[in-house]
Amino acid sequence: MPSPDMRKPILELEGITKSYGTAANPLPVLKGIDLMVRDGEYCAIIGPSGSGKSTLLNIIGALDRPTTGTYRLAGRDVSTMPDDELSRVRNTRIGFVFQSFHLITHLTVLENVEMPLFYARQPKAARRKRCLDLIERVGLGHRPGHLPSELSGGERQRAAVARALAGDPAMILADEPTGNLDSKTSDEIMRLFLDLHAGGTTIVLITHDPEIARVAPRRVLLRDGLVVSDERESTPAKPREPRIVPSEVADVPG
Amino acid sequence: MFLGELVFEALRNLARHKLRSFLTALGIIFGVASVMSMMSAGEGARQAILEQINQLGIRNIIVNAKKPPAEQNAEDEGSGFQLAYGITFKDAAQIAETLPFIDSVLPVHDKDRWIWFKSRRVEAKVRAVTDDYLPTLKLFPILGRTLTAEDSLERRRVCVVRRRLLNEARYLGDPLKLRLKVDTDYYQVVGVLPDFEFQSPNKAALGIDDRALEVYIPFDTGIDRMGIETVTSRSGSFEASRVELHQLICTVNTEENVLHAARGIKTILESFHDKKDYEVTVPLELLESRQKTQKVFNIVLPIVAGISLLVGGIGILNIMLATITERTREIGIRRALGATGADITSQFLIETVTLSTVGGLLGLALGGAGVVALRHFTDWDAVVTPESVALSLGISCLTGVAFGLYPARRAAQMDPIEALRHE
Ligand SMILES: Nc1ncnc2c1ncn2[C@@H]1O[C@H](COP(=O)(O)OP(=O)(O)OP(=O)(O)O)[C@@H](O)[C@H]1O
Ligand SMILES: [Mg+2]
Repeated sequence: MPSPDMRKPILELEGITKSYGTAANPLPVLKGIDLMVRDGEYCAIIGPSGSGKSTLLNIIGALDRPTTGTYRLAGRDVSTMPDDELSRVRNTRIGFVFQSFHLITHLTVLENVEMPLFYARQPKAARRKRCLDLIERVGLGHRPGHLPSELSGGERQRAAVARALAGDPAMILADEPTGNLDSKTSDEIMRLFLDLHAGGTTIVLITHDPEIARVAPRRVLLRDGLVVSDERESTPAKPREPRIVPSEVADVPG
Repeated sequence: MFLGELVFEALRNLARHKLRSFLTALGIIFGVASVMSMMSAGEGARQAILEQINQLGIRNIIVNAKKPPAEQNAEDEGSGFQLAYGITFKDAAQIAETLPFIDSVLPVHDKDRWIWFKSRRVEAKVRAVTDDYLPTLKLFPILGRTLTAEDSLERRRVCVVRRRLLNEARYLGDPLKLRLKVDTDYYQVVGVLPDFEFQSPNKAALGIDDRALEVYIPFDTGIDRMGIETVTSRSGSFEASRVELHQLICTVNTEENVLHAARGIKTILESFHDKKDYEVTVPLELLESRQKTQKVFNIVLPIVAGISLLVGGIGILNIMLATITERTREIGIRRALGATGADITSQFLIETVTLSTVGGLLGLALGGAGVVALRHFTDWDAVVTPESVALSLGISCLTGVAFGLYPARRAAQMDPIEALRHE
């Protein structure tokens, strides 16, 4: 069983910068991030509000493109991937929990959770069964037919978590997945993440909660668009098998 | 499977904004309704003409005697005056002998007479016809037999009647045992013809009077027994007329020669008649004029279809552009969860096509109602054909594709992260 240091890197960021604003008047948000996450790692990103955490996670999730620098996802340079391949990577390899949930307002919880599997062309019956299970697991078993507008903030967040897990992705990117939850439900969600981590899923999550950060085996501190500290616990939570061979990302079955 | 779900989803989205969807589809609805009712009306007219031509016989040329209007004045001058007009035996012989394409010339002589059923009398038109006449016009007896050459040769006093005549006379017995009294003669009924429903223009062409009921007798019997002169008393004064033949049915050997033959017949009649006391009907000419209107129709219909496509399509384009702006965030979410550009394109394209097709179906319903109304309130026999339904639906589908493609492509080309951030 290889130690975490022996695993292949799944995320490699080199000199990533991101600027908003115009070319004449740029507003730099990320100012040169070097970060490497190995397959199966559990990594928390912490830092003050406005430090660029969400911006970084969007880049990692193949949603946004960096202004400069290279980002390799499982060995493949993301900037060279065609649009359809990016879609496939987002669909099959990444489960994203957005800071503002991003549920589709006119679809029910179940339909929202099913969305990634719909685009993976999974048959309706199988999809439905898996998603109802997941909804149950995040504690929304009594609400699958509700619209997001009929849910509380915490319930929406849990629906967003369930959706991120729907496609059984190798990597979960979660932007403050417990921000709206009380400590009990927050614990439940964190336990869910730890279970997945134990099963080999790579987890990168952003949090403001010191409790949650403390659980994470690795903590990356971001400040003003730069990584200011990157500490790792000497002993990982549990030994585990890697879930994907990195080269798999490059040739995802369509 | 995937397509079915997209269509279902599209229907649900349209149902979320019922009024908006309906108003958007109005252009298509009216366009399709007008295209369909136009085609149905055109088809109805076409079938009516074809039926008419079929009844008259496409190879027939019909010449009818016509009382010349100029003679009306002369008539009043003296009571001894005898009005002679119409087609003559000489005309018939000339046509039959000199025109090469003519297979047969069937003469008809008519008399308006009172027919006696014992003590009851009915006014009828007695038509002296040759044995070929009834088969040529596809009149076959439903009871008994038709007239034969022998009937005429032997001057038999037999007749074939319309069923309506029997009804009119309230005769309930066996028609074939009936003897009708015309003038002083008795005629044995040998056959009964069905009450053929002629289209109104055909009645005129065939000299069938709605009110009069026809009794067909052998030609020679008729000429022998009743002569060719007619004296009628009207409000005290006598009116005498002399008409040799009231009608000629000329059958041409082939369809291609009908128009030549018609020209020949007209030339002969023109040279023999000073007055226009005849009228020539060529059923084939109806077909020609029909083809002319068809040509106009073929130009007008695509224009109407095109305009409805344009108007309906622009309405749809407009609302779809508004929709994708309104749903930008949804598009971003779908893209973030793995929808490809093609997935987004098909989603919105299917939504547009669903809208236009539903519009098309509503348009078909409206057009169908229009056709029913046309049939009910006018004598226009509009017919809904499968082609008109298919064309209308095709047009509405096509409109959806043509005008949905641009907004759908635009939705697909949105940057995922920009779309996600859209408020
Ligand atoms: N689309 C944008 N256009 C311009 N500036 C932006 C945009 N998105 C983010 N920013 C700026 O970039 C900076 C970093 O934003 P980001 O959302 O990454 O912060 P964050 O670390 O996630 O903060 P929080 O903890 O509050 O979520 C902020 O100052 C923000 O104003
Ligand atoms: Mg953030």
